[in-house]
Amino acid sequence: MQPPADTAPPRGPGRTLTVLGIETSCDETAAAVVTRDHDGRGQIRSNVVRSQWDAHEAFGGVVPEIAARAHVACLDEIIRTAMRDAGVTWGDLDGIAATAGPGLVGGLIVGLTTAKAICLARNLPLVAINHLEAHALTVGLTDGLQPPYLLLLVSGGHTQLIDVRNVGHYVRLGTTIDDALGEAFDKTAKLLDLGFPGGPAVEAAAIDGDPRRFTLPRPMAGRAEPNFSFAGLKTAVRTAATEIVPLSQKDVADLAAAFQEAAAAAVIDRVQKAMAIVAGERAAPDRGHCLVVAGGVAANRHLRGALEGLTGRRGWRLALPPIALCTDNAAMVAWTGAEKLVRGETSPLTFAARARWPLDATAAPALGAGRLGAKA
Amino acid sequence: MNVLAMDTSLGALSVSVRCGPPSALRRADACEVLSSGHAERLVPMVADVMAEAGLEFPHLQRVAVTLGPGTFTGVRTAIATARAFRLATACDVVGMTTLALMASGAFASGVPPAGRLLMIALDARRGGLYVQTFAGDAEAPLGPPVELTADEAVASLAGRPAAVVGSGVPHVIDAARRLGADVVPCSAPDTPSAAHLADLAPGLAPLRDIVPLYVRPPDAKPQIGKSLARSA
Repeated sequence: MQPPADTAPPRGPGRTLTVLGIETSCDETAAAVVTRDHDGRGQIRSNVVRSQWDAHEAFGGVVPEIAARAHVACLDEIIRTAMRDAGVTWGDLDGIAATAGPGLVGGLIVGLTTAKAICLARNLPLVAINHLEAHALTVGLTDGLQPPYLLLLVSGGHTQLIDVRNVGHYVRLGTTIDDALGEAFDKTAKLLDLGFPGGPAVEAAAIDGDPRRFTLPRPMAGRAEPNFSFAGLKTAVRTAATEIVPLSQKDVADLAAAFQEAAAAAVIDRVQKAMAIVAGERAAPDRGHCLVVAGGVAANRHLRGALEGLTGRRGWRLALPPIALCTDNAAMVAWTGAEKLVRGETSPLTFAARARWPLDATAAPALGAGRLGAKA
Repeated sequence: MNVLAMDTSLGALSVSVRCGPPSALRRADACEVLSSGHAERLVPMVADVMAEAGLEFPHLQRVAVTLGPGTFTGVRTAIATARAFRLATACDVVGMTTLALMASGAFASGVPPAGRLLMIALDARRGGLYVQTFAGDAEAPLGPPVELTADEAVASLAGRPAAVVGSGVPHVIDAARRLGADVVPCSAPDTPSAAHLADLAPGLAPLRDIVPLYVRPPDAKPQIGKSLARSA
């Protein structure tokens, strides 16, 4: 048996921190070990992700109960693998970070409860992590980039523009009032019978398509506040497609290309608004302006190209973490845990998983976002 | 044997510890009636009960857990915790279904009356019951745990007299009256007991796979017919 963790050296700033991260907020079961050295540089020691796509494919989207069942069936093995790959034992850890929200609460409970139990058994501090904050801080791990910067988060569950002013200080500039962008890709893929997950499927179908054949709306274009909306775009695709059924392969390719083009154009319009807001508030930046992109939709090459063009024209730096760290992973959770630990922030074992956990708790619900507002 | 037992499967949360030599066995038990929030309370309750018993994790030898059926999230909460303790310590894990554990508790307290089968019936909501019926003792179930309507549960007795225990008692008794079956309610506890599980744990075989018993499948249907037609 390994020695009890309470024989480990004292923890705190000024020394290297090694943190186990756990991520179970949606349909990826993930564990990772990350080290943060005394200079604030990060190193990924291991990064294990098990996707549940196969389990959800027949349903055309993530089924929360299926996701939770899959998480509990394998999380301990994923953690064991991450610890082994990193070559660390419990006694080497300085803490455990687990995603506590926002997300599917059944899965969050599995990951957070597992983390709590290990923390209790090994006398380690727990850090409950906001999934959005983990995405927001990933560039600190991958690029050594520190705030301030503008974050575009585009995933299956979230579409937000966040002014990241410092670790723990976030101002939400815009969010979606209905579907997340990744959700719109999934629903369009389902409509066109392209499979799941929809992002890669639509992108692949669009390669041979003509985006000019169908005229689709650019939702929210020109609006002053940089919010998003994709429900109307999704409906427009359905309307255009329904008029020409049965769909040929060429029809599907053209519709996919038109949707992808419209979605990217809508994002670019919204990002421009947010860039103007940030540039106005930080008129004389010390280090220039930077746009950071995170979330699974950041893997879309058309969107990446459009963002590269926009930031190039405006003289902004564009930071795109590697694809594997744009999608859900536990390395970003472990890293955020290390950033919290070095600041002396830990969480009690009573911490509750949160389906909704806005990164900017002061942000008013976006107009049209419903009674409860956006999920995050 | 130093044992930690946990149950979060139904409308209560209970944790028990048995430790020390048989001649000086230390016991600590905690139980809260809780309709939700098991995941927030469980690990702190384990910490409290372990401290009360004077048991430290390096000396924990066995974790016992209820495997379900019950609320999906509740069942997963204790199982995720048990799997984490096994991962982080040298303990093994044993388990019992909620139905078998409740049956064992009922038999131990003299239920049912002689000559009657024992039916454990848990209200699974949406008109369903999680049901298992036993003859003689908890190790002699007539079949595996199943989900049935109250009428189906009564019919499964095939005319044999029975006593029924659990949150589904009102539904079963109502159906028995309508169907003319000889079924009586019993006063045994209607939730599983971690204390009873802790007492049984030394005699259970360690589990290799700690798998939840959900009985009911996820409420999701494959998306068929949502795509537009393709030309040949």
